[in-house]
Amino acid sequence: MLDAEISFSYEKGPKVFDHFRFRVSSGEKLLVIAPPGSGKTTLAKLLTGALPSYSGGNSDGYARLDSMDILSMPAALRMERVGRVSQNTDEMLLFSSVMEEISFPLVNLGLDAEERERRISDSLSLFGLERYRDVSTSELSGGEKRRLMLAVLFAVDPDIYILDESFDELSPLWRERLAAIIRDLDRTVIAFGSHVLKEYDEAFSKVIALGRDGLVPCPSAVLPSPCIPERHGSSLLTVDDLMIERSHRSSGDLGTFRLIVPHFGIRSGECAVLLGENGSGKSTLSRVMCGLLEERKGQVILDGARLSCRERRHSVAYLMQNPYEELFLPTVLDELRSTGASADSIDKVLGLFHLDGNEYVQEMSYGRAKMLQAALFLLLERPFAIFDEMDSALPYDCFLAVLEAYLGKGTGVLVITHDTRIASAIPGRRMMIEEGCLHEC
Amino acid sequence: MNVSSYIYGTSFYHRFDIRPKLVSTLLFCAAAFLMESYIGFMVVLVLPLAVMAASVGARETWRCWSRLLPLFLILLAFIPLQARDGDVLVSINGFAVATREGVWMVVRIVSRLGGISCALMLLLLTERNENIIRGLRAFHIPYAAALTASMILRFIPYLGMLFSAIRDSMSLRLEEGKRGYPVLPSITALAVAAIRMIPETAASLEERGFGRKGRSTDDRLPRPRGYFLQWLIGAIIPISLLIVR
Amino acid sequence: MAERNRTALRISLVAVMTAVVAVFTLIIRIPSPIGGYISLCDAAVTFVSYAFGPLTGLIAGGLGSAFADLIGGFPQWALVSFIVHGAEALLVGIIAGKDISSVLRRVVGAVIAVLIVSGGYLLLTTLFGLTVFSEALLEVPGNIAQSAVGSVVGLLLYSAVRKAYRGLDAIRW
Repeated sequence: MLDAEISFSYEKGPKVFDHFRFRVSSGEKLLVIAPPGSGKTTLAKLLTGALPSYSGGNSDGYARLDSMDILSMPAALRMERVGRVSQNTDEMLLFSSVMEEISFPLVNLGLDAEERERRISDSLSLFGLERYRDVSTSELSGGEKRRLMLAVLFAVDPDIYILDESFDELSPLWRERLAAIIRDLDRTVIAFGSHVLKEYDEAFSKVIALGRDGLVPCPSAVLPSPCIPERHGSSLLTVDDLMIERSHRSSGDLGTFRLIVPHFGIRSGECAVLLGENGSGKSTLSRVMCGLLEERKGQVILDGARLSCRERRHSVAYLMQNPYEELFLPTVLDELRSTGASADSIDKVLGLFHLDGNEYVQEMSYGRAKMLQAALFLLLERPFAIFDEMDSALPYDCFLAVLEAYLGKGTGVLVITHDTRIASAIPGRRMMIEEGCLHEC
Repeated sequence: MNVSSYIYGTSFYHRFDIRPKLVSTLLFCAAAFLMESYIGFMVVLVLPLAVMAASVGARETWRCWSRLLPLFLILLAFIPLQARDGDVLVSINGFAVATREGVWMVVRIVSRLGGISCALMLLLLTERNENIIRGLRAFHIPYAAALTASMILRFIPYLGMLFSAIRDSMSLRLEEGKRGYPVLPSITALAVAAIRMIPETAASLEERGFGRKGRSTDDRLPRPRGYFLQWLIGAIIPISLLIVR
Repeated sequence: MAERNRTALRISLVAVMTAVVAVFTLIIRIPSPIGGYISLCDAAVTFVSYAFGPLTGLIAGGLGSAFADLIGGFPQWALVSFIVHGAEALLVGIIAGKDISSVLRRVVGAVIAVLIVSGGYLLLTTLFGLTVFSEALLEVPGNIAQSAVGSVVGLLLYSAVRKAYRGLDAIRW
């Protein structure tokens, strides 16, 4: 049984938790749903000792696990009790090879070589990574990195597993597998999410929300059925006979990656959905469409005129998976002003996206950074936009509000998602990348 | 971006254990500085080249060497300026183009530079970076230093990737008609992203048990077959070079 | 938190900043007015000194440029780069301190950086017998230009980063 009461505030920041109380019985599989910026990641970090640690801040309270207060233990000694997979996998990745990454904590635990090897091969095969033992971590895709971090946690095997948005970036196949793995796991699991996924149903025994003073029953796990009007405009962006090639992995056996797109078009004000497995080339296609990557063959056409890479960058907005990669300036207001938009429209967008103009970009949570990224490109008023897995880390209503704002402006939006519920809830055609080829389904 | 120069192979030099290989490379570099004859210069220049060609092939060897050629040519072009008061070898219209001492000096530098570069490249081409670090640990470099080196190898490609992502998205946000990317905001964004990682990485080290007592000590390199023979060969060649000079 | 072992933070600080120096050296090149490209190695080295002090500068600056040489295919210069850029970072860090509002210190710091880089390469490459003196002299103007641009960009970078990231001063060796 984990029994905790925690208070925490960041340095120079407001109180995130004030005598926040919660209990989790051992063996329970708990899913905590909360909007971005509500403190999910902070709570996860407090429990494992990543906060206050070197980041500063004031914490107070206790978290008793079998009458032992883990909050008063040094982080290194907590690892057998509690461990986590962070939302941003890059912030926890330490080494350049998969093998080093997974054996480091096991060496620190003082396990002998045989036991280490057993745990390493077990957890690598659990997450389908046996082939990647000697591969460099910089060559892994987002979903593969997520699975590696899960494998590290499962190899350490603490009493409490904390999974911070761990279904993010995973393909539907791996989401289902992870859910099954969690269901069969004989440990306490606390998972954090920003919205309920279909796959969660079978994995968790209890779904709750993050309230002001503690965990409260989740108000409604039902997806609101949206009614987003599409206003089809006259502008048409088409991709014709496109072939993209990329050398994929220097030390693996996957060779050259190739994607073929026979034909696909999107009108301004239209919404279309793009689906596909991890690493199938969704992001690569997006990069070609917005002019960041050169195609091998074929063309991108806007209203009959062929677009050069440079022209594409001004016509197609690309909202990348990791929002921090698109944010550079000190405050929210600095970012929004850099678009050259009028003060009026900035104010409107701030209100629409629930943003605070004076907030420091580098202190925003992952989900809030995504909202800022969306606000930014809305102000840039590109005629077309690509949302690369924007729905992850955002609650449904936030995501839908963003989509509605874009469509309302007459922007043609291509939504890339792994969430089958989202895919079926929003209007528009569905496309799928399968075996290196894009087709409508 | 790729930080590893390693090229997969099964040649004898690939199978050479990292520990004798490190010592041998070091001794060879020392020997390269102490050569005193034209024959010595030749050996220093050609020996690593031959091993390289045998272990990674002619194409890769040429790739490494072609990077050094311009430098060699510049050095050779400076021959007329060296030791102008020495024995004149070649002269045009009474102007000494090369002296015996000048040629000696430049050839010595070329062999040294070429020898050291090739020997070090050879090490990087035939061993994975992680393995070099494990090898260094066998010589008792501090654990923290080895750990830092491993982490540097993770952060260099990551920050390189991050920078191209930043540059890409900068160009997506440019106003119409402008090209390129603004340098200062881009490098600022990169520096901030990097600094943000420092406390997170430190916390991550501790969450994975860094600083615990009782770390396993059996993660050392095993000794391959012919280990002592490898040591012998690895030591004899550079030492005999040192003696013969 | 005052009494904890700070080794984990030091390792992370050095690892990340070394990588920053290496990446600035290897990838970020700005076109130079006299032809060719200028790498931002010195900008990163002086930035690390300003932001984290002379000691971190010495290790990360020296190691970063050495790693860049090793990876970039010029392993023979790694030792020279380590010494030159390490010394540059150390001295700039000691002289300039954290107080970049002092114009005098800024100028002295920049001059020192230029002197060490151009003089250091000249001295060490000939001392180690890796080149002839006259060839090394030929490299001096390029090194002066590169380190001068680097010092200025390093300062600009430091003030920009401080503005964007409030947590900077909290990270100490």
